[in-house]
Amino acid sequence: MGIANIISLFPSEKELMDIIMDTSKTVWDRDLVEKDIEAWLSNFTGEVYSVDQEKRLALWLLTHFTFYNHAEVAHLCKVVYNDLIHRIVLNTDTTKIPLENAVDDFFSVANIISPESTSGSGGFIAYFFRHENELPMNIFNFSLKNIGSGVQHIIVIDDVTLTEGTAGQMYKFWEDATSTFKGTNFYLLTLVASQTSINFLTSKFGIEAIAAIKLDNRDKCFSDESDTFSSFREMSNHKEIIETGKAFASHYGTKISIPHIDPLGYADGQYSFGFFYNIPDNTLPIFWAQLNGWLPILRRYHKNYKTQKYLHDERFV
Amino acid sequence: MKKDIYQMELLEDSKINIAELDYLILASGSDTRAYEVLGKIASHLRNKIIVIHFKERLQNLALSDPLFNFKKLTLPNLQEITSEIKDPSSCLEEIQLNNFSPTSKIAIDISCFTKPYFYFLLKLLCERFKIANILAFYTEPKSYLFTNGLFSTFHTNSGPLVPWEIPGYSGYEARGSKRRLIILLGFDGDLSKEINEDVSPNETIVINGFPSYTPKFKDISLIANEKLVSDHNITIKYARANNPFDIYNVLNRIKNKGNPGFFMNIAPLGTKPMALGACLFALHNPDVRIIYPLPENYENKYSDMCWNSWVYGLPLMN
Amino acid sequence: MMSGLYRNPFSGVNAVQLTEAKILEYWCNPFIYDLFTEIKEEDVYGDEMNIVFMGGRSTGKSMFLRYWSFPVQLEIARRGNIPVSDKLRADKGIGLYFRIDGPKLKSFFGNGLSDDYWSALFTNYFELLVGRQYIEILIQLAFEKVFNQQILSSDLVPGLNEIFQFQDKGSLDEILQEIDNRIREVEVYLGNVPFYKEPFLPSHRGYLSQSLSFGIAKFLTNKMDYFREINFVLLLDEYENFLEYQQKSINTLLRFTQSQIKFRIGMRLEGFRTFAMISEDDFIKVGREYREVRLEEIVNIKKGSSYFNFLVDVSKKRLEAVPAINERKFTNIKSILSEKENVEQDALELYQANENAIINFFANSKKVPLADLEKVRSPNKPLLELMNCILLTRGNRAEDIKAAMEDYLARRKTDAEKKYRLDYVHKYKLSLSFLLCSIYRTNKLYYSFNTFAFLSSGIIGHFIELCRIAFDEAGWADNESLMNRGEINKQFQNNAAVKLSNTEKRQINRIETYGGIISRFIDNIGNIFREYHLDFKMRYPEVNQFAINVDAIQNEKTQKALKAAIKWTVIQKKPTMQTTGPNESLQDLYTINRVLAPVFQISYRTRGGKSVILNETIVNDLISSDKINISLFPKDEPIGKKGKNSKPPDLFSQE
Repeated sequence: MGIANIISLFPSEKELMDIIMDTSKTVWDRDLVEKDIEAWLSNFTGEVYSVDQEKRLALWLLTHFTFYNHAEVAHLCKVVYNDLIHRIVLNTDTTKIPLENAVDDFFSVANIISPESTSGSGGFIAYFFRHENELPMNIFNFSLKNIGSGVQHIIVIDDVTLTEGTAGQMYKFWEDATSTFKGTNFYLLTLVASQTSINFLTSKFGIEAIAAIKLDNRDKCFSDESDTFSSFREMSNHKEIIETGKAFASHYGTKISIPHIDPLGYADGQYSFGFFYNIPDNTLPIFWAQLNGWLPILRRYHKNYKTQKYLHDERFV
Repeated sequence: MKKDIYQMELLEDSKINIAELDYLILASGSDTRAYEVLGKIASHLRNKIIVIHFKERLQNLALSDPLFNFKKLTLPNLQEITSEIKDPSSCLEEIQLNNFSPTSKIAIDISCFTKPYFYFLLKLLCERFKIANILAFYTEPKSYLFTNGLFSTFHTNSGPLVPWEIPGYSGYEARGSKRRLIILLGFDGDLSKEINEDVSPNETIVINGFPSYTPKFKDISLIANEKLVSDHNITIKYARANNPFDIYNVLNRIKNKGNPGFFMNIAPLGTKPMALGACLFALHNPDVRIIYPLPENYENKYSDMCWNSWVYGLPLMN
Repeated sequence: MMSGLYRNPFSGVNAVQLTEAKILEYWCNPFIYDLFTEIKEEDVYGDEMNIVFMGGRSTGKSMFLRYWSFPVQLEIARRGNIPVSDKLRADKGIGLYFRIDGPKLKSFFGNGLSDDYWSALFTNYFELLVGRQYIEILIQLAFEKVFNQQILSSDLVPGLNEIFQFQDKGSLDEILQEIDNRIREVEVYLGNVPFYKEPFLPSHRGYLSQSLSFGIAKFLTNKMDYFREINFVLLLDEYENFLEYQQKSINTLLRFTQSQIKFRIGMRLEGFRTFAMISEDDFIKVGREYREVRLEEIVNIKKGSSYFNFLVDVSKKRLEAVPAINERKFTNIKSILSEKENVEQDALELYQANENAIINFFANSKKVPLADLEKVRSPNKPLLELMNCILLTRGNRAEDIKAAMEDYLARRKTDAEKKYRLDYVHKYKLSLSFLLCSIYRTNKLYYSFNTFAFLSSGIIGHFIELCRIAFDEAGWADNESLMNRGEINKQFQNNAAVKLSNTEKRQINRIETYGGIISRFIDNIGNIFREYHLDFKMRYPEVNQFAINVDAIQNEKTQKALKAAIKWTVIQKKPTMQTTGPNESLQDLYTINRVLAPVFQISYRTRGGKSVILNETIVNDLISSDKINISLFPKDEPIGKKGKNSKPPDLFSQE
């Protein structure tokens, strides 16, 4: 099927813009307006298909982007906490110990930390987590090194856990943590995780992982099971349609050329979601990149491990 | 406040003894999910299986339709009941022939029931037969079908919508009470609009299924109900789309928080597990009214393939 | 996006949901705008006859009825710092507002029990609801010390005990509590009946029709001096939701209304499922049991009409309620939307994309000699150019046309100029813009306050929804113009019009029982109107109405479908009637709801003149065929005589 025929299967630019407008109103807290979309679309200059065709594809991908606003992130923090409580009570013989006591006992010997330094997104989420679940300050700790010997349960809060294997950014953390605190129970509470990364962490480190949202192949934009293209699943050229989108996103992902990031996201993530405070780099770079003149539609704030510039470009200080 | 540990497991991880079930009740349908659970547990079933057929679904159906796939399974002691979607109580006579007792172990697969139907059934089991606990099975769809990929085209039904009180859930509106409408959001925006106008509440709260079956669904329900959700008077809350106990807790919090003197109306337009949670809440709180827009026609197929199958343990009595 | 605009001023606000304070905040008195020709303000409480207010969804019925209810009277009294007793005396009436929602009404049905059975139960329930409201009002009045303790305990309470057949309740509160118990008994029964299918066995005798609804009023007006000059006005909302047997019950009350008890009923057009009463050999009749007041006054929808002023004021209240807008003083909706369309500017914007499109169209499609076309060109005035080309096709000489146009542009008063001006300015400008859009293969833009007012078809809710969507669109795409200049671009307004039009068209399918049929009818009739709009000879410009005698239709299904279409305001009846010819019957004129105009790309105005004449055969075709044969409605021959308001011959009549 020719490209023109494939693109004609997608809704029109106007229809897609209408969906994005409604999404912006209802989910994105109206943070995006038409001119932001137009600016982002100007990135696509017809290098793969025609400009109009690329616009439609880009808009199609954008309509399938999942954005978690402030209220939703707060809710996810409650979800993981409630799931943790459920696990605690499931493991308790409530004929011997009342529910409330079981939970109190658990937290009396627990600490909550984030896996990165306090300025990482895990620390940001920890604040929400504490706030939404009305937890006392004293069970939060800022570092593994600070955890006392009486702690039996270490609860690690993070927002995203997507990459399995040693390539995962938290691999080193878990390796250190579980080797330092042998015999301690580790819990990972993560807002979004892939099933494969959870399986890996559980089997490799013996931690108990709780994710509010579990991603699978349906959430990878260009997998055969992708939800982004599920409307075309019944068609004989379903795979061709996916390839069309993939070629488009890959080309521009390559053009943007972010160091250490694959054209379709870190570790070839192919995800399309983000939070109000940041976009994970496992998602398609066409959404968040700011390199080489690329205009993002959503901002990603990278972790700065290298530069040490403290005075920025202000006229008056 | 009373606290219980909720029972919710993936079917494949569940330790329930299927052979001990006295009754399994399910609805026939062309959806691939209709017999997903039955297919997995059929070999363990020893006792009665009740399949409820809806006349409206049987119309003009070829014998090769997937609706009849249950006949391919070896099922002991099968009872088939024909009933009407429009009148849930039309199955009453035949259902009553079964010897339910308070100690009967009953499971119901809600995957292919319409919501008014399983609401009726659960209340019947609780009210008439004094059954305190049942199991509920539910299979998530892998995806939903959106015509031309447009979220706004999703409809589970067509034709006129008639909002009505689900039989058995009329609630009670105390004098002077204000009306609070709680809408569990679904993908079909026409339904919520119709209900909101009909009930005309003093306050409307929408509950979005989130986390949803897949990440994007939580946006689709909001987009589909854009007009309602954009109203600045509306409050949005969240509850897990596949966990009935989450919805129960949210409804409980709404009921207990703030001023008393609200007449609670719930419109379970969202997922079936959410509806199940609302049903449980209404069974425990008989003053609550359940409103549902009954359509003239249901779409036979609006979802595609199967995903996880869940088992829920439901305490029908508080 | 809408930063600086805390919220869309046109979102929210359903009248039934509003508190009394909010009702007063948003209230715009329709009597000031002369929106009702049939009644005066004092009739609401005072008119001897029952009144039925008819209008589609969102026409303001609920707001209107609630305004006259006792809680709002109380609020008005409080705000005016006057005793409520004085307020009621001044009004000469007390409003008792009732709204029983559809789901509750439908629960009194089925489960193997007969209509007669349900009728008795419903009557009991209704009487209890009315009785309860009387008692609530009396409690409030007692609190306000309208009557003293002596009267309360020796007259009022014992008298009410007797009416209710209670055993010696000692106070109004105890009476109220007992009523609550009996209502609850009914509602518990409704919850259980599907599981047992057994009749209601209450702990007491049920109440018969009128026993409380009239009995209490009669008792109060006879026994208490205070009530002697006061009418009890039962404001019954959404009557169309009542089932047929329920309406029979209420219709009977309408027939036997007593002095000082009045009904004011709100319902959709064709909301009566029956005019019968409980005794089936009698019927209620307009003019005898009730008067009709229509809230959709499409005849009054003319530019500058009071309806337009009403819309401006309604909008103003909403705009003022948003601080960011109020601070900027952007509270005049006419300024925000612009007052009217500038069709000439719209035409020019099309023309500039291709200045030869008109000429080429007529040369290629209509075979008009290019030399003649060149003579009648009018650069920068494309509508004139188009009209000139059409005049050429009507056999006029190019030189004459050019001369008339030049006289018009130079404002030289000649006979030809006069005809030219009348045709262009007063008759055909809008029609020309539709034709121009078809040449340029684009859709006509619908925008401006006037257009929105017309599109709303007398339904205030539609106007508000158009504004809501327009504000949303503007906030999304051009917040700066909105917040800095208080303007909404015409394209966004058009988006709003098109969106609402499509939504309303889609909703037709949701109409109970006949939705599919009505939808097909509208598709077909809309396309017929469209065809007339695309007639380049402009024989019948802006045709958007049809004539039919609905009551004369023999086919029951067809008749009911059309009545359902009227009830749901998909089609709207015009006040004038017309005959198709001598010895022919009078027929009603209808338009399709103007909100549908953008979908079909037709005019929203009332032009008078040509109507599409329908008969039963044609209507049956229109409701059953997916695609009507347009040639059934030839533009060459008039299929009906001109109506009463048709215009005299003009330049175009020269064939």
